[in-house]
Amino acid sequence: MFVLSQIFINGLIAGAIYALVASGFSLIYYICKFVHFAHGAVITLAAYFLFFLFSISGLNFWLSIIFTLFFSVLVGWLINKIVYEKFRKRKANSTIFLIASFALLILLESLILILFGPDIKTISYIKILKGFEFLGAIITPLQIVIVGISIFLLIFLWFFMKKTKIGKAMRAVADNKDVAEIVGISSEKIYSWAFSISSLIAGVAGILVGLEQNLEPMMGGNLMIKGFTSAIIGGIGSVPGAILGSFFLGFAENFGIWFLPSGYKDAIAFIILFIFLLFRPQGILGVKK
Amino acid sequence: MNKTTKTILWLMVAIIIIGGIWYGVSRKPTTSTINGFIKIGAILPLTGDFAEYGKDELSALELFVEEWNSKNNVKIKLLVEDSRTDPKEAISALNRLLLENPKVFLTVGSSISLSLQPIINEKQIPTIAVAVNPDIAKGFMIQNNPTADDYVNLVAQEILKKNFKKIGLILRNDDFGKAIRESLTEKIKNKVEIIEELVSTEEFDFRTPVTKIKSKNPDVVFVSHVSKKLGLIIFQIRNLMGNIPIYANLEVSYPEVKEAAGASYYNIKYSDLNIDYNQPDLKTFKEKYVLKFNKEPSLDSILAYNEMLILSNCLSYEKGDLLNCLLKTSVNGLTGPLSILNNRIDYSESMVMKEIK
Repeated sequence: MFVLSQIFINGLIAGAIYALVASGFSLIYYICKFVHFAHGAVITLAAYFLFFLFSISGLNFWLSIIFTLFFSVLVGWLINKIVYEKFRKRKANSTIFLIASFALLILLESLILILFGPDIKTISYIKILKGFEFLGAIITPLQIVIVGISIFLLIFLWFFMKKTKIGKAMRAVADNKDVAEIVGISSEKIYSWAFSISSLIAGVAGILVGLEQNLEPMMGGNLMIKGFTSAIIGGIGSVPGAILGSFFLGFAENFGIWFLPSGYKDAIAFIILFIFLLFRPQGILGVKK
Repeated sequence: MNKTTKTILWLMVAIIIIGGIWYGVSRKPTTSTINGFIKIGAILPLTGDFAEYGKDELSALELFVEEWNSKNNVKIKLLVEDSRTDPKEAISALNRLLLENPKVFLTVGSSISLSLQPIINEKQIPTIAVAVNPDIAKGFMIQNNPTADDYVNLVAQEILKKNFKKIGLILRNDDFGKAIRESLTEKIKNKVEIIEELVSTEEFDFRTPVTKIKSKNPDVVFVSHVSKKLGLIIFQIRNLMGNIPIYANLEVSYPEVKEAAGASYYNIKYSDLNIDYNQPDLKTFKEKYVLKFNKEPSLDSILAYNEMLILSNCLSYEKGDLLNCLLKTSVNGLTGPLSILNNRIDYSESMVMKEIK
């Protein structure tokens, strides 16, 4: 019994981490219609910024968290303003955006490598030795926070998109940018909002992943691979789909390596990705066009 | 632009291209001892999982080179390339360094050394590798590290002595982890039930492999990984399996492992070199190292300095005779007398069991 519940919890934690990555990434794709791989770099920057404030500068932990979240929003907003807005003005096609996002990912990760070095960093704030027992399975307080925040973000994003003025404007721009502009919605403002909100979520992801799994300069790129896979499985461009895909992937990987050797974990993820691309390319919640 | 200008421009482009190709083809490798320099190529993991080891090794090499150059007319020139803890990158680094024609190569890591081995043997350049896998010690490659057998001999003896019936192995899925697995399994397989999980080198989440091991109720766990990921595995084992005794490879004693494991860093045993800082040579080395780098030397620093001590006996030899010289030489190293036996600097007599309480 403990094994089943432990693997369920392991899958839930992994899914929650993937969901934090995939939801922000998917939100940008839904509204801006391009793959923003540099989202992974925002996650890494947030994690290292927290490390800098808390572990190097000795700032209070909770203050460091608040500053880190502001910093993440600023980074996302600046990326949109400095890079993507310029491309939009030049009417660049989606391939240019894709290449630019890859270049940004590599550039920002290299910057972190230069500033902080290649070795893994640790933020030693929450290191609980023994977690809580639940149906024989063990989960630490930090892992409960990760799962809780992930579920909260799912609800927050749903509420934000459905009920707020900005959320409705975002959906309008996502549906048809030109029509939205005719009724007075500034698409550039909406893009800025999309980048700011998704970067805020990236900041949360960076903080939580940094606390749970330590920091390394390439962590964002690795997380993006799983986030991107989750988004495709859930239905690219659908934020609820990305979150659903993330949990699906988390469970599939962890239950999969119960039967297969642990080294096959990544292979399981990509086999599922291929199955979806072949038989249901629109993903779980995507609509066939 | 008229026709004549175009023709001149095309001619200039053609001359530049032909000149470039001619220069590239005619460029001869510089000799290994030129203008009073002995060139030593070092392919070290300065980034990636093994970066801590590579950086410590580089510090010790720089210290040795500085000392040598202050005492000798023929200076050493250390040519360093980053292998990025990646065999493919290491081969690119080797190809770059081959253009400089160094007399000898130094490298770190099992997968990296094994990937370099065929080229090293083909080019017949003596190479000293700080790596665990026993297959390193062949041809022109000399192994400068306790071997997989040295890592697990005493651990296996203790596991058998304590009469453990079931052991869980969590191992890094590369040549390093596999060498440790083969050696340990060989020594205990008929007396202890073994449950093993090989984990990806890129992985940070080890909860499910640990859960699988836990479900078989082992008496003890052996972990073989490196850097902070080793600390993270220990942390996750303590989370899920409580106070179970843990055995590990000697890298468990490194500060970054302790930092990553946090409060989980206890009840861990490992086999390590018996490093005695009261021994005069080692004491002097430590003082100089701390003075220069403001940190204590690690095992990798000591091994790197050891290999330079052996090399220094043979640096006057030309490439063809250098390997023969190395195989016959013996010097007093930081860890005691050093000699090469079967392409291996022999550390087997220096191993002792240590415990993190």
